[in-house]
Amino acid sequence: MRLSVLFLFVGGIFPNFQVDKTESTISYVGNHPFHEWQGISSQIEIETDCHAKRDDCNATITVPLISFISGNDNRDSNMLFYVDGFSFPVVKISFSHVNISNLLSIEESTYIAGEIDFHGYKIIQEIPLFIASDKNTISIRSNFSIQLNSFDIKRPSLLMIPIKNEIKINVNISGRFIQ
Amino acid sequence: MQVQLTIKAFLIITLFSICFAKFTSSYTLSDTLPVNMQLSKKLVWGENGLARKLNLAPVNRVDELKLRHKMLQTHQKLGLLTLGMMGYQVYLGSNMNSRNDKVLHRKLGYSTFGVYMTAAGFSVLSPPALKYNKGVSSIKLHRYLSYIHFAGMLSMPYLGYLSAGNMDTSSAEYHTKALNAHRIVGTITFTSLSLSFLTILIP
Repeated sequence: MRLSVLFLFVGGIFPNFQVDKTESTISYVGNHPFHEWQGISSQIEIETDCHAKRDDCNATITVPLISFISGNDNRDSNMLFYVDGFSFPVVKISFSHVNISNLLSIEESTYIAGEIDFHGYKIIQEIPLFIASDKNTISIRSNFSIQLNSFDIKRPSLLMIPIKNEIKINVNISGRFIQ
Repeated sequence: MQVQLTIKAFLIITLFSICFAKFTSSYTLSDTLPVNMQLSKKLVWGENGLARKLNLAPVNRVDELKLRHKMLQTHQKLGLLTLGMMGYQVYLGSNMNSRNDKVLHRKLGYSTFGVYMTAAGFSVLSPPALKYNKGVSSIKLHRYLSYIHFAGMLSMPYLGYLSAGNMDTSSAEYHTKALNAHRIVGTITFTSLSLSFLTILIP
């Protein structure tokens, strides 16, 4: 009896969503008066119990900061320096009490409260989510912005001009639940 | 039966612990030094680099990255100053009408050389980045162009010295050819430095 409870407990919170890393990306877009750039990562991990509990489930998206590539290794290293990548190596977005059945039935983005854990700060923000299902594949799309000063991140500068405070985030994830 | 149950429980708990093990941030130097470091950086900042052997390196990698940040910010400022000084040198060099112009060109030339080498030093000697990506990028173009303007800059003071006739003798005259070379190398050096500056403006 105790063993079966332990099995159920373990089964309930084991990550069971496999991200298709060839089709999935999370990117950020930074802006400087001289140019705009994009850092892209495919190293996305999702932990969720939404397969088992479709009316009230939780999900956490985790991405290692070192996996973001903007095409300029100096800029990527500088980014890691400014966000203190040693102390806070990952960025997480968590959603709680999500009605996944409801989201799948809506054919447009829905705003859901998400907690962004970045640079040691946890901030709750309304994040637009569009979730669709096609056979076994789940697609998640989102576009939102964050403010660097909200996470106490000093703005990097180039030629003594700092970048803009607003960073746009684009989420494009495909995956499937693992049985 | 009880032994089997105990073993199964132990395996499950062990698996559970491994899957939910906390990620530790106790990095060692080997973890954080980038894999494909340039040779110049490896010689100074590699695991057995000069800075570490002479105990000149900061105590940890985080402090190294802070130092790198400060050095590269200084490199940017000195680089801009060098560009301005060199631009004026190019103008002076093509408008030398009097002895005073020549004296100013010589003195400013040595100053520009000093500022340039200081700027280069801040970049070359800075600690390595956290990672170096493969492929061509604007920062790599910036680096490749530096090979051109560095070579040019090394030769300019000597070519200038020859252009002034300091090595001319009654049997051998160098200043005419040296002056031509000084002009051409100066133009190439200034052009490559300007392009180097422009590469940091592109994404």
